[in-house]
Order: sequence, then structure tokens, then C-alpha cells
Amino acid sequence: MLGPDGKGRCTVAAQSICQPVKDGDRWVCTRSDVLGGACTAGPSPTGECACPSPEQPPCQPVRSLRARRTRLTIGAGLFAVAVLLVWLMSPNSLTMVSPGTLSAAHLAIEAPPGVPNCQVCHQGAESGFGNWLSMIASQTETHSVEVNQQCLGCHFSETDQAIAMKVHSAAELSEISPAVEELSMLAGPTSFLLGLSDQVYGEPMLDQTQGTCSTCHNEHEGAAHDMKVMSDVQCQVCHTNQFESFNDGHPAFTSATSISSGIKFDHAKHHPRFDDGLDCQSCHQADAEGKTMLVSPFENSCQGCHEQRSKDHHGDAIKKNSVPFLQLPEMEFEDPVYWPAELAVGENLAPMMTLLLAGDDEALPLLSEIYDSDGAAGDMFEWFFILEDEGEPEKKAQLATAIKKLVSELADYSSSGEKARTVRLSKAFSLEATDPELQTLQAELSAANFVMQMFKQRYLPQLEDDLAGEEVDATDDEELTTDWMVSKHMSGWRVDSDEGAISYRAVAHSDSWLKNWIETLGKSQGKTAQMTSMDEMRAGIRALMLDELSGDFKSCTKCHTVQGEAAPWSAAGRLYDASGFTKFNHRPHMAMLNEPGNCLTCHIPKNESSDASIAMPRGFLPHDKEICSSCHAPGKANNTCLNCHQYHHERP
Amino acid sequence: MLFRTRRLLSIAALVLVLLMLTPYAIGYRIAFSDVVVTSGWLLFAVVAFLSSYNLRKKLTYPPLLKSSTWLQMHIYLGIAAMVIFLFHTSGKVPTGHLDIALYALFTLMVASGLFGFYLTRTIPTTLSSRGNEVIFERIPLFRRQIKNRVEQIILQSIEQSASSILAEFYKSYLMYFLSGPRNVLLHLVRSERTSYRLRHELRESDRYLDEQDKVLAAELDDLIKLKDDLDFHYARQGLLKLWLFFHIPMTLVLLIFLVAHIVLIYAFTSGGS
Repeated sequence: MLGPDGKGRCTVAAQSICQPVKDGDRWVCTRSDVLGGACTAGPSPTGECACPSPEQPPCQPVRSLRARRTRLTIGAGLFAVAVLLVWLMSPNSLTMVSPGTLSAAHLAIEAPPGVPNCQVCHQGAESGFGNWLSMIASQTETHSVEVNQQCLGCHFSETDQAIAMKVHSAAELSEISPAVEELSMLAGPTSFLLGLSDQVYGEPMLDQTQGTCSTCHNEHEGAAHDMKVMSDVQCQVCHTNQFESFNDGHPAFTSATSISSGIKFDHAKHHPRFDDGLDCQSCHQADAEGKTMLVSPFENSCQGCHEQRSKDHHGDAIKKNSVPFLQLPEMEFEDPVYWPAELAVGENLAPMMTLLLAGDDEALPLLSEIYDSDGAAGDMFEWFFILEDEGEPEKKAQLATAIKKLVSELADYSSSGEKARTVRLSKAFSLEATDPELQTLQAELSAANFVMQMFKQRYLPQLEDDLAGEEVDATDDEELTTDWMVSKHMSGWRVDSDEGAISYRAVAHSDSWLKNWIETLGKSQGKTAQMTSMDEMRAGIRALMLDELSGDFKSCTKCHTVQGEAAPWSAAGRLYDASGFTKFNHRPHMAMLNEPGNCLTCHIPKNESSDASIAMPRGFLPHDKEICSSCHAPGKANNTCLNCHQYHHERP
Repeated sequence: MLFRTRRLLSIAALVLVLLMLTPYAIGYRIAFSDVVVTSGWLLFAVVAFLSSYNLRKKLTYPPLLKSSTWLQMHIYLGIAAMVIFLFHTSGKVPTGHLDIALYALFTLMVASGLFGFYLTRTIPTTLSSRGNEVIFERIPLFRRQIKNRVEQIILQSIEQSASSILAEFYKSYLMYFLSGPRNVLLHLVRSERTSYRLRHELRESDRYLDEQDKVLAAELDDLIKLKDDLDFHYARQGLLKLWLFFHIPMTLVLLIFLVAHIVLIYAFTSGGS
């Protein structure tokens, strides 16, 4: 039986195609046996086929189901390719290939709204389908790092980016809190799921060098997707030695061991004043969101009791301490030196004066010797002994000259004096002359010219002649008297004839003179790059003087913490270090308090019966966990880790 | 090995594989490991293997296991692919256009596969209950033979009895009934209502026939039953073949979209990280 040929044609029809050939004088049929062979009649005498029509009519072949299915499959495949090409090469290709809507926080990346701006994170995305293929070849594992940089660029400051990918975005966990490092100890899984994870993946890598932002934060999962979500069990991958939940084994709360920044305030000492009308709202008000309780400014919250006006110089404890600024040290010279030997009684160099002397290149080596920890260690008399032992008594004269030069500069009203002071300050603090803090401090010194001039006139009236090289004698100077130098703009200066010194004391809160010194000193602490040997000497002296001044500045540091560059004068400058990784929103909790005094439900001041071994730097007992867990429990309020803790130490 | 034993072993192997995959996926969520890439490639490999079943059926050489063995692997790996797909997508429906298309294609593939699995497990048993086994491609030939025989009977009836009752019956009912496959939808739901009605009509006219026509009418009744059985086989075997007209083309479409998905993933994220 014959079927259709390979092209779907009926082969029976081919039977009609007989081409008789002449063999001698006879015509012979040429139809093959496959096609039915010669018919019985054979070709006619004239060579025509005797049976041109097939015995059966030709069929009309149809494709088999399998063949039709194959054609449909090929057609569907071509259609799919066509659809994809249209998608990928259309102007809206980025919309088509986008794996999903961005989270609500990142929708602003789209510009205009609804139009993907993929190249913000995926470099080269805007260049189209053709380039996407080449991107595959060029993409390496650094791609995720590049995307990370895009994230970090917005979410972390430039300095914090280096530590952003470290565990909890902290340079060293131990620097944040010893307790944090302790909590990270691995002591084996506490649940089946954790055990499962350990078995499959092993212990977590604490260096996190292979982690990326997307390891935890999945994007393109819709506007409603919470990118920050993290389960308790995920926290416990590292914190495996802890507890099952907040309500089951979570350790009791402890207070921070110290106040790292912000205002130092002992609430317990002030609590007894509540009977006098003081209450929490006297100093604290919620911010606009109700999340954080802000501290009212000094004028509103403290000044009412700690009154300190410019007219009152003597009645308040805050301002009783004066800061020595300039004092002529007691020195004896072998050769004649213009120096008020009878009036110069200082045993050591005043810290502020030392700092200003450090701005003098000639005085700097002398200061290094005086403050050399292996030598005089800051003791002037010890230094004198060393000089005598080493046969260098002339260095005393050099120091005297440096001090006199300083006095001359400080008393100089002219622009050259101002310029000299700027250069001196710039060197002393290793800051640019244009630095705003340094400029402000120079302005403060210029404003004190009057006092310095008076000091010079009283102690070294022939100073300019002396510095000019003329012969002068201190015995020609007049006897001096003690006097206060106080005016509207120069409050607090004191020229002490008995001590041969100028000192300063704050007579009002937020004193600009002391504030500028503290801020400039703080700013200079961070300058460590490309230091010369002289810079190193100055940095060493600054470090020593900072310690010295911390005592002099105690009228400030009694309430204000000063650390490094940071000078948080207000409570709003408080960092999160004190609270570690804990966060708290007052708003929902305040709504549950019926009376203002109910703040004491959670914030309990320490009292005489409190355990003295517990750190309570703000005067409060550690929070009672039971108060929280009475509501934050399964079936009640949220009790997950992230409800109270944030992962990143530096908050994005 | 008994069929039941083999099936139990296959199910046990499938469950074992899935149990091995499950901690991997759960552990990922806990340990933040990037298992999406692994599960994606695994899913692609499984889908590619499942797709190769159709190629295997076309190849007569080399003899790579029996087709029935391939079918068993196709079924069990198809179930595994569903689970891997859930791991890969985290059980969430994507929101991107291409990903939604891919998600829909895979879902349709799974649905058509499950539908086909149901058909292959139910239709063969119903076919054996209606007439002899018949090759689907030869059904038109048998149908023509039945029609020819019916026409011969009608002509014979007219010649021998000069009665037009059977001829009228043929003209009114049988001519349409025999000219092609009929009552396809009714046969899919295993309804024999039409053939019963036809045969009932024939029996109703039996009292007006003479003895010779009654013999012919009895043969007609058998032929109607035979044609109805042929239609039953046509409808049900046709469905067995028709679902593949969806399943197989969609396989190619799915593979093409999968390749596009992988290309885009690697172009934009260097591998899903």
C-alpha cells in the first residue's frame, strides 16, 4: 500500500504518469512495479498510455496529529521569540523586564513616577537589549559590590561606608558595648530550625565579607514589601546562646555603663524636686512624631533653678571655677633677661598658654622637652634641673622669649597681630587658617586684646623695646594691683597681680570663649593624616593639654560630655551608642499613660536602697523587663527582636 | 518488580529528594544564603529534562530506556519541579511583567501536566469498557466501513420489501450520524443518550417492518452501537492527544522565556546576587 510522499502528495496519482518508450517497433510501458506496474492493455500502437487514470482516485493526504503538533510547537516558539523581542526592544523594555515594583521607600528613584530608572543601581541598563547581552560577559561578581555602593551612597555617610558591611555596621563590636560582644557568643542552636540551618550552612561568617545589602534587603517585591523585615530566628543565627523569645529567656535590661555623649544629668538628684512643681514635662517634650522625648533648651529647663546672669559673678557654683589663660612662670636666668622675676610666680605653664606656645616653631622643641614623659613630664622645676645637668640654661631664656613673643602677639591690636595670631593658632591646632572654628577662636582672641594689652602693660611694659633688642630692666616696672576686667563684651577676664596671671571664668551659660576652645580642640583631635614630626609633637601636646583642660573646663563638662571631635552641646546631639541597638517609640506608649506622672512607670529614679553596683549614669534604675513583657507577649503586642532592636549600629 | 512495589519505591525516592531539598530552602531563609541561584538552575535543569521526554519519543536510537520509564521519571520529576518552583519563588507571585508571564507559563504547564496525568490514568480504563481497542488514526476508516454497510442494508431493504421505513430512518437520522464523529462532548462525560435515542427510534419502527426488514433493522441496531462506540473512542482518545497540543508547545514557550529570564538575571545582577 502506498502512502503520501515526503511532501504530503498522493503517490497514487503518479500512476497516471506513464511515459511509454519505443523499443524497436513496439511501445513499452515504463510504469514501475512500485507504482502498480504495466497495465494489462499496455501502450497503444501510437505510444499512448492505455490507462492514464489510476484505478483509485488520488487521495488528499492530511498531516498526522504529531506533525500538526510539531508545526504548532514551532509556531508557538516563534511567537514567543517574537513577543520577547518586541518586549525587549521596545521603548518600554525596562518596564517589561523589571522584576517588580520597587519598595515604597525607593519609588522616588523612578523618574517620572512609573518609569523605571534602572541605571541608578544597574549600570548600563538604559543602553538597551543589545548591551544587556554584552553585560553578561562583562558582569563579574563585583556587580553586587557596585550595587552595594549605590545603596551605601544614600544610606551611609562617607566615613561609615567602610564599616557598613561589617557585623551590625560597627567597626568593632566591643567598641559599642562589651555586652554586645558577649551576646554574640556562639553556644549552639536553640531550636530545630537553627540546628537545621547549622547543618546545611555551618556557622555564620561573622566577618560578613561576602554579604551584600541584598542578602537581607530584597528589592522589587512590591511597594508594600518591608525590606527591613527579619525574623527572630535569623537574629539567632548568630545570637544562638540567647533565648527562645523576648518572653522566654530574654535577659533583664541593663543601663548603659557610661554616658557617651549628650547631657549628663542625674534624674535621681532632681526627682525630690518633683514636690516643688518639677515634673517630667518641665524638661521633656515629645518631638513632632511623638517618637522621641526631646530635652528643652537650658533656658527653659535648667535656668529656672540654675540661674546665671552676667550680673551675678559670685553666687553660683557653676561659674566659681576660673580657667588660667596666661601666667608667667617663675624663672631665674644666668644672663640678664627682661622678666618680672618678682611677679612671675607660675609653677607650670597654663594649658591654654602651652597650646598657643605650640604654635611657635621655636618654642615647640622646648615644650617637647618640658612635657617629655621620660624627662620633665610637665614639671617646670624638673626641667630646670635637667637643663642645669645638661648645661643648657640658655633654654630658659629661649622659653621666656617665646612667652614674651606670645604676649606681644596677643596684645597687638594691628592687623599684623591678627595675622600672627591666626598663623599661631593654625600651627597649634594643625588646622587650616580658614577653618571656621579657628577663625572664630582668633576673633575671640582679638576681642580680648584689651585684657592682653593690660597684662602686657602691667607685667612687661617694656616688652616691645625688649623684643626690638634694646636693653631694658624689669626693676623699672611699676608695682601692680589685682583687678577684674569685666565688661559687656569681655565678661569674666581677670588680671591677677598676685599670681602674675590672666584667667577667665564663664559668667553665663553657653560661654562662647570656652565653647570655641573646646570645639577647636575637639576638631584638631581628628587630624592625623600626613603628619610631620612637628605636627606629631603638637598632637602630643594637644592630647596632654586636653586632659589638663578637662579639669579647667569642668564648669562645662559637668553637664556636657566631650568626646573627640564631637561636641554635643544639646541633648539632641545624643548618639545612639548609649542605647546600643535598641530603639523605642514613645508615641504608642504615651497614649497608654493617663497622667503625666506615669512616665515614672518605666523611668524609675534610683534611690537609697538601689544596688550601687549597677551602672545608672542618668540616675534611673534599669528598665524593668516585666513591664514591657506584660504587653509584648505572644498574642498581644509585637514581641519580635526587630520591634526593639535595629540591626545596623549606624542607622541607614 | 511488581508495579505496586515500583511505584512505592518511586514515591519514596521523590519524598526523600524533597525532604533533602526542604532543609536547604528553610536554612537559606535563616542563614541568608543565596539559594535562589541554585534553585533557579536546578529548576531549569529539571524543566529541560522534562522537556526532553518528547524528543526521546521521536528518537528511535539510541535506546535510552523504555518510554514507560521516561514517563515515570517525567511524572515524578514534574512533581519535584513544582516544589523547587515554590522554593525558588518563595511561594510569592512576582510583580514584574516578564516574571509574571514566566510564573503563569509554569503554572499553566503544571496545570496541563496534572490534567494530562489525570487523563492518562482515567481514559484508558473507560475505553476498555466500550468496544474493542481501536487505533485512533484508523477510526475514520472503520467509520466509513460502517457507513458503507448501513447504506448496503438500506438498499437491500428497499429492494427486498419495497418498504421505505428504514430508508426514511436513514435519511432522517443515520445519514448525519454516520457522516462523521458525533456527540463528542457527550462522550467526554460518558453520556450515551443520543445512541439510546436512535436505537429507541429504530425499535419503535420495528412493529411496522416485515420479517426480512426486522433482520436488517437488528443489524442496523448493532451498527449504530458500533458507530457510537467508535465516536466514544474518537472523543476520548482525541482528548488524550489534544491536551498535548497545549502541553508540548507551551513547553517550548516556557523554555524560551526561561532562557530570557536567565539572560536578564545575569545581565542585571551577575547571577542573581
